[in-house]
Amino acid sequence: MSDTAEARRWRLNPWWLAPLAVVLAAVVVLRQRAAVPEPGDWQAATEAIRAGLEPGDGVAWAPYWAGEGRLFMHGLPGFHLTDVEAADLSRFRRVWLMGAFGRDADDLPSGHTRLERRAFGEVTLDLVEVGGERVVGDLRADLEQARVSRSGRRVERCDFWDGRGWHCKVSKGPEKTRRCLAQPISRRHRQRRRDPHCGLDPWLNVSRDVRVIGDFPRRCIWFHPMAGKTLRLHWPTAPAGASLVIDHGFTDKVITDHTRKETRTRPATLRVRRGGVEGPVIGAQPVPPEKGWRRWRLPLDGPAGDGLTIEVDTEATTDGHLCIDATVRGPAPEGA
Amino acid sequence: MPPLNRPGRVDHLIGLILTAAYLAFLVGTSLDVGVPRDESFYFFAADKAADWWLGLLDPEVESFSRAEIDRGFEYNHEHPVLMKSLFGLSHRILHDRLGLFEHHMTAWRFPTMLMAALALWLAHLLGVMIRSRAAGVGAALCLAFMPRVFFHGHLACFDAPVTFMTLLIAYCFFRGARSRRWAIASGIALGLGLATKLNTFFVPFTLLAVAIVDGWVWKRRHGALRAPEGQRGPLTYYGWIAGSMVVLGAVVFFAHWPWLWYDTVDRLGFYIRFHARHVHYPVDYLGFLYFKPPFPVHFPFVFSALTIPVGILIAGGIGVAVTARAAWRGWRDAPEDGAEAPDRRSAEVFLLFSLAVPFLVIALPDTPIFGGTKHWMTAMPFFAVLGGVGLERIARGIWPAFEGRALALRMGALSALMLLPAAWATVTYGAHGPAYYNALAGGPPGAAELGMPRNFWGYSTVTVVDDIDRLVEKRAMVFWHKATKWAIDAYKRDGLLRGDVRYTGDWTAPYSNWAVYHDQREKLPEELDVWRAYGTDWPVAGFFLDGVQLMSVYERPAPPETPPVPPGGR
Repeated sequence: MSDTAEARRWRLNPWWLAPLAVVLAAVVVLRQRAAVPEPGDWQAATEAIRAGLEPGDGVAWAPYWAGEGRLFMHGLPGFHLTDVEAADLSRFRRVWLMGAFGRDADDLPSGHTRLERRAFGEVTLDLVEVGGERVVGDLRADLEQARVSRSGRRVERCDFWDGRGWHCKVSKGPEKTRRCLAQPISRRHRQRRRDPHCGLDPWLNVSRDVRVIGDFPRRCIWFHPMAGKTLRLHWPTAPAGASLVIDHGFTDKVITDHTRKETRTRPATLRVRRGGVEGPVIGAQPVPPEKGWRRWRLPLDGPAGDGLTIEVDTEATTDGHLCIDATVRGPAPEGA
Repeated sequence: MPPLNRPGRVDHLIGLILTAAYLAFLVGTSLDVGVPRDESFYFFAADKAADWWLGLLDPEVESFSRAEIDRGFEYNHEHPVLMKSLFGLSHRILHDRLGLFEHHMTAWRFPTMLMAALALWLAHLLGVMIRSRAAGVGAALCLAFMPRVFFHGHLACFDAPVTFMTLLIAYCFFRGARSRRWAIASGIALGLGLATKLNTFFVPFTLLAVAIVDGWVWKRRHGALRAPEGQRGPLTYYGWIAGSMVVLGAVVFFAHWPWLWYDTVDRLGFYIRFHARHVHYPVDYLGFLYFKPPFPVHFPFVFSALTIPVGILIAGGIGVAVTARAAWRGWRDAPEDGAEAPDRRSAEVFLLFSLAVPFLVIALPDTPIFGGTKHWMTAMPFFAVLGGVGLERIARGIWPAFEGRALALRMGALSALMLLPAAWATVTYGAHGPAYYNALAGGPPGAAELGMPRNFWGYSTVTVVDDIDRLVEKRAMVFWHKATKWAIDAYKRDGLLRGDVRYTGDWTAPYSNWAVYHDQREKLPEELDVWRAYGTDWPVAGFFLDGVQLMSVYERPAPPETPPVPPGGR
C-alpha cells in the first residue's frame, strides 16, 4: 500500500464526528446522572449530623438548588447558604455542610477550618470550624425583648405581639385579636375575606420575616418605613461588640420584580442610636431603592449600656418593603 | 437538485404506523403529565362548547339563539373554539357516551394527542418529498423524540395543535404551489389554524415570503413571472392559494366560532386587542428574571440549543446547513430552463423560512415569551424535517460508496445511534418536559446552575398527589399553589387524588395545614409565604428531577396557638 493510500485509510472521515458527538453527549449524561445523590444519601448525611451535633452548630447544603436534603432537615439548625463562595457563617461555631454536584466546603471563603469530611453516596459531608468574627447579639432572636414605636406628630407604641412581631394598630383590641389568631385554620380560612389578618396591619409592623431580596431568601426583620413618621426599634439587650452589622434591602418584588415602568419605592434612611430613642446617633445609612442585599457595618465603641436603637424614615410609604438583619459582632469567645 | 418525490402508498403506510405508535405512546403516558393552569380552564370551556355542538342534535335547544351561544362560548372567549370543541366532544362522546377512555383527562386530551401524532405523518411526508423515504422516517423520529414537544403533545391546550396546524398549512401550501386541489385545501387549513390559535396569523406571511422568493427565482430562470402558454407557473398556483386563504380561511374561522356571530365587530375587536396587548409574564432566563421588555434576542436560540436532544440538534443543524447551501446555490446559479426539476422550485427556502420565522417572532424584544419553548414549537416539525435531511447527509458522508437499500439500512443504524439518547430522554423526562435540558446544559442540574427555569404554571402537581394522598388527614386543607381548583378536581375525578382533600385557594398559605410549592423562580415569594405561615423551611415530601427540586410539600408542624405576651407587650 502506498503512503498516500495508507494516510487516507487512517484519516478520519469528518462525518463520523456527528455520531461520535452524540455518543460523547450520552456519556456526559450518564456521568451527570451518576453524580446525582439518592434521597438516602442526604438522609444518611443528616443522620450523621444528628449524631455529632453540638450547641452552636449550623447545617447547610450546597449547591442551593440541590434542595432534596431539605426533606431531612427537620429538627436540625439548618440555614440557607445561597452563595457558598461568599458565605457568612459567623452565627455558628461549627457548620456541617452537605455538598453535592462537585460543591463542598472547599468552596467556602478562607478563614475556616475543615475538621472532617465524610462521603454518603454522592453527598459529601464536611464539618467546618468557623473562623473570624462571631455574632454575639442577634436582633432577630431577641425581637421579643425589643421595643417598637412610631413617631410623627405623636408617638405610637407598637406593643402588640402576634407571635412573630410587633404591631402598632390592633383594631379589635389585644384579647380579641389573640383569640382570633389562635382559631383553628378552618375557621381562619372561612373568615379570610372578611378579616384575613385578625384586624392587624399586614404591612406596617415589625416582625420576624423571610423575604426574597437580591434573588434569594433572606431571614430578616420586616421594617416597613412610613412617610412622615420615624419607625424606631430599641434593642435593649444588644450586647457589647466590635461592630453592628445591618444587612438590609428592599424586596425584589417592589424594586425589579414587577411590570410597572419603575419602582414606586422611595429611598429610606437607617439610623442607629446608642441607648434608647434619645441616645446619640452613631451612624446613618441611606437605603436606595435598588435591588440587592447590602451590608452596613458600624463600629461600636464602649460597653453595651442601654442597648441600641435602629430607626428608619422615608419620603413615601408605598412599597417600602424594607427588611433588615441586625447583629452585633465581635471576636469568637474563648474556647468557643 | 433532484425532483420532488411523490409520496406513495408505502410512505403513507409508514406514516400511519408512526402515527399509531406515537399516539399509543402519548395515550399511555397521559396520566403521567400534570394539568397546567390553562389546561384546567380549557377542560371547563371544552365541555361548555361541546354541549353547544351536541345541542344542535336536540330539536328542543335553540342552539343559534344568542343565549345558547353565549352559554356555550362566553367563557374563555379570548381563544377560538376549534380545539376546545374537539376536547369537549372527545370527552362527551369518547368518555361519557362510549366509554372508550377510562379517564376524563385522557378523553379531553385525545384530540391534541391525535394531532401531535399526525404531525409525525406530515413531517414524514415532507421528508419523503424533499429528500427520501429514509429522511422522512428520520424526520418523524426527530419530532417524536423531542421531550418538550412530547410533553405538550399531551395537553388539552393549543400549542401542540397549532404546531400540527402550522405544519398542515405549510404542507398544503407546499403541495398547493404545484397542485390546484392542494391550493384550495391550503385555505381550509389556514382557517382551521386560525381557529386553533392566534399565532397561525404569522404563517401566511412566512409563506408569502416563500412565494416571493419562488416567483423571483422563476422569473430569473424563465425571463417572466408568467408561465409559458399552456403551462402553470408559481403565479397561477400562488394566486389560487392566496384566494383560498383569504376567502376560505376567513370563512372557516368565522364559521367555526359561534361567539362571533353576534356583535361581530366588538367581539372580534376584543379578540384582536386581547392578544395585541397581551400582558408580559416573568421570564426566567440564564439567572435573570425578566418582567418586562426588552427580552433578550437570543432567548429562543439558546433555549432551543439547550432543550433539543443533542443528536437531533446535530442532525438538524447539518440539515439546516445542507439545505441553506442548496437554497443558496439554487438562487445563485439560476440554471437554464429545464436544467433543474421544475417541481422542486424553492423547496429549501420553504423549509428554512418555516423554521426561521417562529424563532424570529419570539426573538423580537417586545414579544411576550412567558411560555418558554412552546411559543416557537411551530418551528420544530421543520427542524425535524431538516433533522431527517441531516441524518441522510451524515449517512452519505460516512458511506459515500453506498446507495439505495444498502445506504438506507446504514442510515437506519446511524439514526438509531443518534436518536436513541433522544428516545431515552423522551421516555425519562417527557412527562416533565419543561424541566428537560440536554447534555449541553448539563441536564436538569446543569440548567439549575445556569439559572434556567424548570417548572411551568402548575403542571407538576401530579408528581406529589400520591404523597398528599398518603400523608394528609381526612378533609385536609391544602394550599395547592399554582394548581387551580379545576386541576385538583380533574385529579380527583380520575382517581389520582382522594376526594376529601380540600382546596384552599390562591395565596392562602396562612389558611392551610398543608402546602404544595411549584418551583418557579418568580413564585419564590409564595414559598416564603409558606415558611412564614408554618414556621418551618423544611418540606416533608417533594419531587426532585435529578436532584433538582420541582415540587415540595409542607406540613404545618403545629396548630395555631395564642401568642404569648412578652414583657412590656400587651
